[in-house]
Amino acid sequence: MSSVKKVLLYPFSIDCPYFEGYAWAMELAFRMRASLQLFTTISATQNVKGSTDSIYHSLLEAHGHFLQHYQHEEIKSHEVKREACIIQGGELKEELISHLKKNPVDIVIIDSSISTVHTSGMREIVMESGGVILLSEDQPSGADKPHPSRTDHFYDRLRRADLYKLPENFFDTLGNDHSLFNYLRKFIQRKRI
Amino acid sequence: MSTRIISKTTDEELVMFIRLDDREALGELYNRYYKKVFNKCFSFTRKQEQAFDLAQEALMKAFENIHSFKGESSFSTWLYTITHRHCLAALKKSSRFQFQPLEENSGNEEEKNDLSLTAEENNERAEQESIMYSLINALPEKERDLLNLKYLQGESIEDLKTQLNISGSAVKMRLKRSREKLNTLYTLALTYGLDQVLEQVELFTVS
Repeated sequence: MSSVKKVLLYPFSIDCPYFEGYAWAMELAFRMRASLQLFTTISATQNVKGSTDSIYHSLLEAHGHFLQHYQHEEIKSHEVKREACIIQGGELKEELISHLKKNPVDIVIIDSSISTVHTSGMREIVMESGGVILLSEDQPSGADKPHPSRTDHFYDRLRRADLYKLPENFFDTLGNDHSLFNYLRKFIQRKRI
Repeated sequence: MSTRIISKTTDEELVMFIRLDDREALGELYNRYYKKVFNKCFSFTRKQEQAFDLAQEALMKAFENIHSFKGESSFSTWLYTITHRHCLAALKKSSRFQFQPLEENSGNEEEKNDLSLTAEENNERAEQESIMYSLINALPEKERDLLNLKYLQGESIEDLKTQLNISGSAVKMRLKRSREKLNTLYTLALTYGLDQVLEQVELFTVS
């Protein structure tokens, strides 16, 4: 694995629910020792100060959600460098593609809640990035199923995600994460039963 | 804890629940303060992006070390002190201000007094300093530089006279007016809140 720090990008819109996707992207960034860009846009006609304030507030709130639901002993979120990237002017999909052209990143994580991005812009986004993970909708655990551990939840979502053009060493990188081994072991045990 | 009850729980009780690994309590306490922490950081930096970075770092610092909260002051004072110190450290690091460490300007007597202050008084002093720094930071450049040179870097009237190329009495007059303005702003900030004052600081001009 290259020693250069990987960069992940998570596009979001505060008009769509994104806290679950943010939490997953945070956890992936931690496990890959990568930094995380948080990308969004505001309309050119909006009050810039007010809109950016709302975005920063929302990102802080998203992090609170992460701390409440996903932070655990293994995950030290302060080790993840996060950077907000707020572009004024255009539509999220267009601005994202243009941003990726100028600022290449290793992996883009797309939440299926941002339908404008994943329905029509996927081909270009895949082309302009090192790889894409398209997260499927989060499935709340049913009342009859035991609540998954936080690590299980992370890998369950990865298993259900659509992966495009990911670097060959992606799973090697994640393989350095010991919790993967434990997860696979449990998964295999479940299959045997 | 049900949502109905948790919303009425005091900050300090929430800290107690967090220590028992109550995640809902953590979420509630965090949500009560993240905007205020962001606004406080913004009052230091006047730049949203920097304020966001500082706010997330300060919040992490506080919530990851919540076990070290001893209850000697209110939770909000404790959190704001962490935020204040974090912002000051970041500002010093970025060299936007060339602050002398305050201890270097203090005499032994003052240092002794510092040590004898209770945690509550220390927090209060930190809060007052934070307001003062934010106000100085919001002043027009000339006034800000003059106050920093004189009171933070300890420049003499003689040095300022040479640096600014004006007479000694003019230096004294400018200092007096800037001080008076700062005092007024400080009083207003204590009365109406820092954010209100910062929004309208340009209305106060030194004649």
